[in-house]
Amino acid sequence: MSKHICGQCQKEFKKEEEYLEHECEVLGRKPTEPEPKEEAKEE
Amino acid sequence: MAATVEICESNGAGETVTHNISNTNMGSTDAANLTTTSYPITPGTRSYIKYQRFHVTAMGGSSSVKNLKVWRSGALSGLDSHVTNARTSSYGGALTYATPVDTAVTGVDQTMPTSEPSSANLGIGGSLTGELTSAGYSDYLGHQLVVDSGTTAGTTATMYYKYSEVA
Repeated sequence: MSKHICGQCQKEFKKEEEYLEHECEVLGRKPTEPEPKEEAKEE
Repeated sequence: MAATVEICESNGAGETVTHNISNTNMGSTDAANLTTTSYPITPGTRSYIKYQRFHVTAMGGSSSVKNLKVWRSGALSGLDSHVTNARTSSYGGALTYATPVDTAVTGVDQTMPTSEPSSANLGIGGSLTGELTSAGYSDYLGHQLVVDSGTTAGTTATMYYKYSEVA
């Protein structure tokens, strides 16, 4: 039976849907969410 | 917003998918995110083949993801070679996943490009002109290191995975 692993936080899931819905502790976001943009620094 | 895209690797007989891999290190075992020093490749043999895919997890408002290109920068050791199924012409269709092996795989016999290809060299839905218009996967990229019998140490190189996104 196939399984899905988050390559960042190493959590394992039985279904891809579960992987897509998890909030990755390493990335701080779900796999379906874009990477946060870097805030411009004030000089 | 933009599409969210990750690179996934498949391993094992039951196809365990490791999403958003951290590295594509080649070694003497079938696993993702390898620590190379733990799995050295015997000279005169091959690494376990890697089966990887682009995975669009969300379109983010874009209409399509297409034009997939893969290549490597950085030299290999001595007479080593890096083979793949990726090619810009006479594409062999979608590579079928199989339990990774450390022997030659049919169709994974092209030389991995060492600069950005001029056009797509990995397909979607079996075609280099294929597109993803919703969440989904590309064809499998198969690639493998062929280590020469005279090689005494490995090297570090960079793999590139590029796509075009249409807003």
